[in-house]
Amino acid sequence: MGLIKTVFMTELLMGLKIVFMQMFKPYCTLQYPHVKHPIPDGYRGLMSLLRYEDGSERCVGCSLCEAACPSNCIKVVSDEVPGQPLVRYAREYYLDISRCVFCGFCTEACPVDALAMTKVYEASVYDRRELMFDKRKLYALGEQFLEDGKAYLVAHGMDDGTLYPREGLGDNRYAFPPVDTAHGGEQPEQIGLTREALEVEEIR
Amino acid sequence: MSTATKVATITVTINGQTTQVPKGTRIIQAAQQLGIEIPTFCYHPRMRPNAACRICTVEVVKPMNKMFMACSTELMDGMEVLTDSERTLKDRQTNLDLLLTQHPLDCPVCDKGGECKLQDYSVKYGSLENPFATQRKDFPEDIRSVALDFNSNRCVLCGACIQICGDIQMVDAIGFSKRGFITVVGAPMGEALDCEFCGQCMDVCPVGAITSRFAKYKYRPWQETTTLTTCTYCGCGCQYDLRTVDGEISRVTPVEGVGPGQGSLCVRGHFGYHFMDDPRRLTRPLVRRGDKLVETTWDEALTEAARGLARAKAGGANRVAGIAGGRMTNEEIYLFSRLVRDVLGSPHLDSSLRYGAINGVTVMQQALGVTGMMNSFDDLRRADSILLVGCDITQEAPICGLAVKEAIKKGEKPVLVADSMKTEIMKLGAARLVYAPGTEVALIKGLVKAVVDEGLIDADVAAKYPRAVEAIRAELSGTYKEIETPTGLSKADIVAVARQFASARRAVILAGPRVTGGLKGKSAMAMLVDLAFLTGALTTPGAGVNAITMENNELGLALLGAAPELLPGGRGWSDATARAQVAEAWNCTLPEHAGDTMMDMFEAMREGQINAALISGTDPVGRTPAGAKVAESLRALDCLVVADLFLTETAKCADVVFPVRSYAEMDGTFTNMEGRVQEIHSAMKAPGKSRPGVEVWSNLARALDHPLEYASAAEVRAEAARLAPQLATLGVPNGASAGVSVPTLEAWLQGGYLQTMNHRYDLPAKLNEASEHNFRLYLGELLYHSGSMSTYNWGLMKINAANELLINPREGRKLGIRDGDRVTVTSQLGSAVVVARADSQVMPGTLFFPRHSVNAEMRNLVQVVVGSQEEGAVPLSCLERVTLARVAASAEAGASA
Amino acid sequence: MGLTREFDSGVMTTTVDAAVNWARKSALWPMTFGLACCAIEMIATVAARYDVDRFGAGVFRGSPRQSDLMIVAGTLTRKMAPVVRRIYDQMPEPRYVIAMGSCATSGNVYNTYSVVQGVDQIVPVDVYIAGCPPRPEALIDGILMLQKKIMEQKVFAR
Repeated sequence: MGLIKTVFMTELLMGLKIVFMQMFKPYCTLQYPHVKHPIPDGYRGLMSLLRYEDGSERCVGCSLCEAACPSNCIKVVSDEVPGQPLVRYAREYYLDISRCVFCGFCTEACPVDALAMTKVYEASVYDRRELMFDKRKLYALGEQFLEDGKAYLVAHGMDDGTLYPREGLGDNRYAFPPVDTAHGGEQPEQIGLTREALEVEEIR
Repeated sequence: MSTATKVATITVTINGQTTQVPKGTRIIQAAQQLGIEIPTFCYHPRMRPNAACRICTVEVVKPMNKMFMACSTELMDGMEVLTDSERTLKDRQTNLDLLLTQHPLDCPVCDKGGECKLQDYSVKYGSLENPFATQRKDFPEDIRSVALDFNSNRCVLCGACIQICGDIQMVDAIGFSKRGFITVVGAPMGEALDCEFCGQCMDVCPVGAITSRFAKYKYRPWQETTTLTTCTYCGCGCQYDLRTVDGEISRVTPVEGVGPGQGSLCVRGHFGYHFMDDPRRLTRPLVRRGDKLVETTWDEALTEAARGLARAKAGGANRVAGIAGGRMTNEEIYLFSRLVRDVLGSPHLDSSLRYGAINGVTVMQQALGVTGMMNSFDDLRRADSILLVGCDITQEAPICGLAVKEAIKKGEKPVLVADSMKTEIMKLGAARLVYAPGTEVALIKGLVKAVVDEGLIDADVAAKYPRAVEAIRAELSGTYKEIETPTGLSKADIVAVARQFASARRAVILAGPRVTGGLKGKSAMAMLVDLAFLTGALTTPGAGVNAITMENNELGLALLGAAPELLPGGRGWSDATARAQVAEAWNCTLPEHAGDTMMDMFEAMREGQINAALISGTDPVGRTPAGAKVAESLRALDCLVVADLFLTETAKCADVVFPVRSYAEMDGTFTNMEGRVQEIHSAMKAPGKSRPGVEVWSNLARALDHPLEYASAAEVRAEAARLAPQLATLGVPNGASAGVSVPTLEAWLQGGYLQTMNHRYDLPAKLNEASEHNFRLYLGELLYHSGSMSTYNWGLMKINAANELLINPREGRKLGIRDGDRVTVTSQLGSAVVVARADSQVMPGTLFFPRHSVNAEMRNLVQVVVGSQEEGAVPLSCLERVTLARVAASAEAGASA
Repeated sequence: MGLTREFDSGVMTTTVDAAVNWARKSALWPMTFGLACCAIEMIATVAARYDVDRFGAGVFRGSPRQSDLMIVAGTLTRKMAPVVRRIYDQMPEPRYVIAMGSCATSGNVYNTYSVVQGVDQIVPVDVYIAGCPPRPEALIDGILMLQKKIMEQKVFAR
């Protein structure tokens, strides 16, 4: 008996019983990088900036994302669009991904649905400076991953699926949803307070 | 201070907290005292309650149960008030709901977001679901004015802006138009706003309805760093918050209740912050190589400057001179004066005081022992009568002007204005005297004569100081003819004003730069002291005589003795004990004879008797006409060292130029016209390699082998305070603290005063000079600018480029000149071509051109006059204003320059 | 690197370079240096689902003397900083450092008095992985990037 134990290392085989049994079970390893795990819509990956359908930037440079960010990694420099007085935009927009917590507060804070989070999680770099995303890079991400961004907004209830500007507003106003009234979402027109009714006229 | 009558106190209870308050206190003031917050939109502590917004509703429980407005309800004894009861909160909520039915949710694009009262109150007191139907107003935003944008959609119609423009600024530039839902705020008749642009409407607006065009969209309140500092323009010395984003200036906001302005600002303080970032700022030291100035290192520049100064000094201490400016801080002036008098051993130290302010300073120091104004702005606000002589206060010192306006509006007191133009303050005044330009000295003599002849002398004064009264009476034995002819006024007018002034108890005199910088400025100022003395203003608390200062730290120059006849601490060079004290403090010997004044210095430079000079904070070449030959004098020097922010005309003549920091980039103190010493703090990074002036002079002293080392600006001020004790205390004006130094007044009246009476009342012959030119050219001050430093602000230049000649409308029509036409102005020294505009303020026979302008041609049209030895000062500025010129419509439109 | 000599980079040496680099990259033995939450993701990477052993980096050594790779996973506090440096110094060359997660890259939210703002203030870093925390796949992606970097190194030729 002792000889068999020594020759065949039975105690070793007893311990390895579990291991060898596992060999014949189907493996659960995900063969990354050839196979990628499906990412849900609400996943908070890299940030991106979105545009309207006609290509104009959504971001109005309000800096609410900057205020909401817990790690102060967003810097917004806002200004008037040259040639269009009173239209506000972000002249410079910097988002330091190396400091980002991916909490999504900025996306929640954005009033014009300009920010969205994509499903990109592969953000490894050799040089840390590449992790400071400027406006160009963020809009490029937004273009590349537009569908993901849209899906994110829908998943988080920030948009009803339409990312188009509302009709009927002046061109120095950005799109903003009308206020819900206590009468179940009736639009002001139905209550009789239209511009015509008030005879609102432009001042010179 | 004030003779406050005993006010009864009452006991009130707010939210369960009981307190004692004086009778007449309103609910909101008592609540603020207890630290209880009541929301308000239209309430402002310095204005009468408007009660328009209705959000300050509170519930009064005793003696009756009713809702009252906290801003306008006076408390009664035993009142019980609840500011957070259910009824109150419900009312507030409804109020906010109603406002939000029309208010657009512009928060992301509105500049007020983050500091908006409506935002804060909606979060605190608002409802989550608005029960009312909403209809947004849809007016286009009014961006036609150059500095302020009006967004009527966001306006909550509180009326605070209209009230501040009408009650405090007294300009009434904006008002309500139309009624009901479509009421808008703006200039009348829907015109574009063109006002003084003081920006107070913007400061007081609780929402983002009025915003600054210059700072549009450039900041968010949470991005800003706030630094409390003092303004660098005029002598009012207002304190405000300088806000920076990432080290760049974003805007200026006032601080309610702080500083001489108490929270009001003028256009210069509000929008004059662009010069710090101007690309023309000097960033590196420059040295002269041949014809050009080349950039170099500090070491090289300092070595070369020290070498040049030492070489000149080796030929005799009197071969070096120094000129300081009123833009420097107290610490810089102190070190500069020590450098010139101690390290270089030269008595030739003068400053921009010489342009006229020195007259006011020396008279006030000798007569009353006070450096600066003897009354504070608070005294002005409470005065019974104010006499303004040669003082366009709303343009020159706007915030002092607001104190005068408060006396008019709140105090309902008469303001008597004597000037050579129909100034803005004259329109609000109770009595007006418009005299011919340059004849201030005759007018003042007329006023004193009227007081003496009509028996308006104060009885106490006549009893206590009969000798002085008789001495003055003896000088006024002439007729009114010699006064009526040059000034163009009638005896009756002068007597009426004198009578009105003498009958007031707390009567204050404000003398402007046209008095101190005019013909015989020192005598004119002394005559005003006589006027105050005779009417009892010198011995009544709250009354007095004052001269305003133009630059922000001209009084610092006076306090620290930056003039050949002055010593630090407001004493004269002739005072041997004072000289000994200064020599002991600096461990040096001071020469017995006072040095040259500025014009004498320039002459000595031309004759080769002065070989080196140090100039800082002022631009003599740019300030004086070519006839003064300043540029010639400076170029004759072997070594000229200039320290400035920009490459001014003077700097272009220099051999070494040091770049210094502006007021926003260093620490220090300024002394305003009241004598208040106020701090400035560094708010942003200085451009290039510029250094604070204190450091530059310290380095230069070290390079001259006489180190003056200090750890900080505060240390310099502590040392300076040992010689000038007024510098030790911050924020206290003359009027409140020391007031008039009575012993000195006695000494003056009993003896010293009489010694200088000789020739005081002699009128100069120049007043009646005839000329073939039938206009008088007047180089004066504009509200939108201060000195030439403000012309480096693109913002202020956009508001007013300071390059138009103002002419009387009727005369313009007679000569066929329309607004915008080019005209030729000719004097006996040459001619210049400028653009003309009609302005009803200008009197017939006078032309007004802003002094700030960089237009050298206009400046060179005027003569320079050197005053007599007795006068002490050199009225360079007075004849800049009185040269007669001929105006004709220019034939060709494309004339040169 | 100890083995460098003056050689022309001919076909012979580049092949040797490639061989050596292949050997180095395929057996990157990391050291367990989990400091904070990113350690959990590192553990998840080692577990069966995202098996990092497929890339040769599954043998996590406890001692720095036996490891090539230090994955700094988590917030580096000032107290820990000299320790990290000492451990890095104890690693034999060739050694590599991966800064995993935002805290190791830049200090993340914790811009305070006690947190070092990025581990590259203490040790030289080859790859930064952004994320909070990075997914196991992101860590693997980072390791793959490091492997690519190793392949480009020159061992025998300058």
